[in-house]
Amino acid sequence: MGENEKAPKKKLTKEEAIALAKARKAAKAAEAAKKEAEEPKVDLDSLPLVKAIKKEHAEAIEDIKFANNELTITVKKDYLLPLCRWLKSDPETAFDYLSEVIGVHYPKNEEKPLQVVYHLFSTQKNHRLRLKVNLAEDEEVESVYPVWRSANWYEREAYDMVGIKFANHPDLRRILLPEDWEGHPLRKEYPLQGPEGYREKWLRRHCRNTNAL
Amino acid sequence: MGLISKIFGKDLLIGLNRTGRYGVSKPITMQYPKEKWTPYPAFRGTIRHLTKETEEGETRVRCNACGLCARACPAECIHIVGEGKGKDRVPKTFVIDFSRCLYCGLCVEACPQDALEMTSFYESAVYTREEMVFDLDKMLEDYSKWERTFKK
Amino acid sequence: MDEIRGLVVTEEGLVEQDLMRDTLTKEMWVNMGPQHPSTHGVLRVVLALEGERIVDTEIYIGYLHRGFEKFAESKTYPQFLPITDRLDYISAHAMNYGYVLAVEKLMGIEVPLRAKYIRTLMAELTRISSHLLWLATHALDIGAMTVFLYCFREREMILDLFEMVCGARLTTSYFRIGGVANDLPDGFIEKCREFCNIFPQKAKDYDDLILKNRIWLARTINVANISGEEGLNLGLSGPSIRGSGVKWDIRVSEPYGVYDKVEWEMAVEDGCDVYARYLVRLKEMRESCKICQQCLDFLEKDDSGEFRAKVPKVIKPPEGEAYACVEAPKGELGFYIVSDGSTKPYRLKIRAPSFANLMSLPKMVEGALVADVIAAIGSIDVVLGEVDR
Ligand code: SF4
Ligand code: SF4
Repeated sequence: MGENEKAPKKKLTKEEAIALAKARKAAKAAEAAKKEAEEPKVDLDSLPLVKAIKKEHAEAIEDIKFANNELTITVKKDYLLPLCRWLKSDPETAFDYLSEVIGVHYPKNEEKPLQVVYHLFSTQKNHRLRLKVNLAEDEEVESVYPVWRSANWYEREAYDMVGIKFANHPDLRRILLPEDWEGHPLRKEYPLQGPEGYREKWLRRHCRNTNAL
Repeated sequence: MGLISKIFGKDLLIGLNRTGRYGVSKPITMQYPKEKWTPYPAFRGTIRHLTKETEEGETRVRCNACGLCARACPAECIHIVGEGKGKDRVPKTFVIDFSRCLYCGLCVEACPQDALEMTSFYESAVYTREEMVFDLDKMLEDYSKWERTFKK
Repeated sequence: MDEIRGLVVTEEGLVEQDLMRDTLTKEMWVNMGPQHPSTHGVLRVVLALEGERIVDTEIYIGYLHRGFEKFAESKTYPQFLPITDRLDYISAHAMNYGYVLAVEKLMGIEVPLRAKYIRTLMAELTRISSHLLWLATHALDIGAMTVFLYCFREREMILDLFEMVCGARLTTSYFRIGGVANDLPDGFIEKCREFCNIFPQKAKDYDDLILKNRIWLARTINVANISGEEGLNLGLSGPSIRGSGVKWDIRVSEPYGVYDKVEWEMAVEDGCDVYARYLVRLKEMRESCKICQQCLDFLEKDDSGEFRAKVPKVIKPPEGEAYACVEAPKGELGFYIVSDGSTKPYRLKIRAPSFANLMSLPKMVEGALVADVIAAIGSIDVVLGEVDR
C-alpha cells in the first residue's frame, strides 16, 4: 500500500507540490468560512439563562461559550457556591439536578492545569448548563455538597481520579480505587498500565502468595 | 382486596392456575450437548481466513498483509508480518490471540480485501491459553470439524 | 433500655432486680456483600444495626473498576465502541447509543432516518430485556422463583432477535458512528413483529403471579420510601425517580432518535416505594413494545436502505467538547467527551445512571429492616459493571 501512494507523489515538481498544498489550504479555509457563515452566530446575551445570570451574578462570570447547542460558563472559583445556591433556588433557573462533576487535567495550561466541570439540569425548566472552574495545582474548590447531595460521590470520584481537592466536603476519600492507592490515574502524566514497578510493589504489599510476581 | 377473596386466597389461586397450566405444557428449553443451537448467519464467532483463486489457477489467501485489521482491533490481538511486494504480498505470519479477542467484528469490517470472515463456530473452549492463539494455517482450516458432537 | 424487673436466683436466694442490668446494647455492624446474591455483582454494603433497625449505611464500590475512562484515552473513537457494551452489559445497545450520540454531536453528523428508527427499535428492545432481567432477579431476591423462569423465556426471544441482527446476544456493538453496522436482515421484521404481538399476553403471566400477590405486596408497599425532591437531590434518575412522581424522562424532555415521532406515554407513579418502581417498569415495558410496533411500521414501508451516514474514514472530531445523554433502562446515561482534534478522545467521562442511583440507597433504607435492603437494592436496579466502570 505504502509503495503505491509514494509513486505518483515523486513525479510532482516542487512548485507543483507547493501550489497543490496552497490550493488545498485555500479550499479548506473557504469551507471553514462557509461553515461559519452558515451557522449564525448566537448572540450570547440574548439567551435567557445568560441574561439571568448576568443580572444577578455578573461578577462570577469569567467566560461564556456556546457550542454544540450547549451553554458553558466559566466561573471564578470563589463565587461558585453562592452561584450554585442561587441557580438552584431561583425559580427562573431552577437547576434541581446535578448530573455530574468531572475533573479534567490540562497539563498544557501551566498556571491552572485542573478543571472541574459541573453539568446541571432542571427537571422543571428542562434546560442544561455547564459550569467550569479552573484551578491551580494546590488550590481547593468549595464543595457543592450543601446544594446538591449527589455531589458527594461525584466529587469523591473527581478527587480519586484526577486529584481535585474539594473544601468542606463531608467525606473526601477515594471511591473507586483502594484507599491506599498512590497517584491519580486520570492525570495525563499517569501511564496507562500504571507507573513502572507499581504492580509488583502493590502485590508485595497486599498478596500473601508472592508467587504471582 | 375484598375479605372473601382474601380468605379464599384469590391472589394465590390465580398464580397457581398459571403455573399449573405451564406445568403440563411442553418444555421450551434445549438440552445442549444433545441438541444444538444453530446460530443465525450473522453470528460473530471465531474468525476465519478466506482464500481466492488467482488467474493462474492456484488458491491463495486473500489477505495481502496491509495491517488495517490490526489497526482497527480494540484489543490489539492481531499480529501480522507480511512478505513480498505489491500484488504478491502475502502474510508470513498472521496470528490472532482469541483469548483477548472481543468478537466485535471491527477487523472484518475494516478489511479492504474481504479476507476475514466470522464463522458460526462457538464451541471454542480449550484447556490452555496457547491453544487459543490461532495462526494462519489454523485459521484456514474448516472449523466445523472441531465441533463437539455427542451421542444422542 | 427500660428497666425490666424480675426474680433472679443469686447466692442469697431469689432476689428481685433489674434484668437488663448487665446487658449492653450497642450498634452492630453487618457486612452485606461483596459476595451477596442480592447485590447482583460485587457491591459491599455495611449496615449499622440497632436491634433489627438500620441506623447507618455505608456503601463501598470499586471492586469491578476496569479504568474505562483511562482506557478510552488510548483508543480511537470507533475502537472504544465495543468497550461501551461492557458498561451495563445487559443493555448494551443503550450504552452504544449514548456514546455514538456524543461523538456525532461533536462532529455534527446527521444520521439517516432509517438508522434512527433502527436505533430506536433496538434501544427499546434492550429496555424490555433489561427490565425483564430486573423483574426476574428482583422477584427472585424477594422470594418469587417462578417469575424468573417466565421472564427469561421472553428475554431469550429478544436475545435471539439481537443475534439475528448483529450476531451477538449480549455484547452487541451494533451501532456505529453515523448509523448502524448493517441493515436489518431478511425476516427480521416479521420475527420482531411476532414478538411484539405476543409480548403483552406473556407479560400477563408476571402480573398473574405477583401483581396482587399478598406476599409481594407486603414486601414492597411502603418499603424504601424516597420522595421525588429528595431523590433528585441525591441524583436518582430513570424509572426509579418516576416511581416517586417526578415527570422526567429524557426521551420526552430532550428527544433523540425518533422519540418525538412515535406515540407513547411516560410511566409515572407516585407511590415513592418499591411497588411504585415496579409498576413504572412494568408499564415501561408495555410502552416500549408500542414504540417497537411503530418503528416496525416505518421500517416495513421504508426501502431507502440508508443505514449509515457518510462519515470520514478516519474519525477525527474537531476540537471541542460535547455532552450527550440518553434514557438508558437505568436512568440518565451521559457521555462527556473532550476532543483535542486528534483521533483519540482527550477526556471521556461516563455518567453512569447506576452510580448516581446507588447514592440514594442509604436514604431509602434509613430505619428499615435488613430484609428491606434487598428489596431496595433490587428496586433501583443497579448493575455493577456500570457503577465501577
Ligand atoms: S473481532 Fe474485534 S477484538 Fe477480535 S480480532 Fe477482530 S477486531 Fe480484534
Ligand atoms: S485488513 Fe484484510 S487484507 Fe489487510 S491484513 Fe487484515 S486481513 Fe489482511
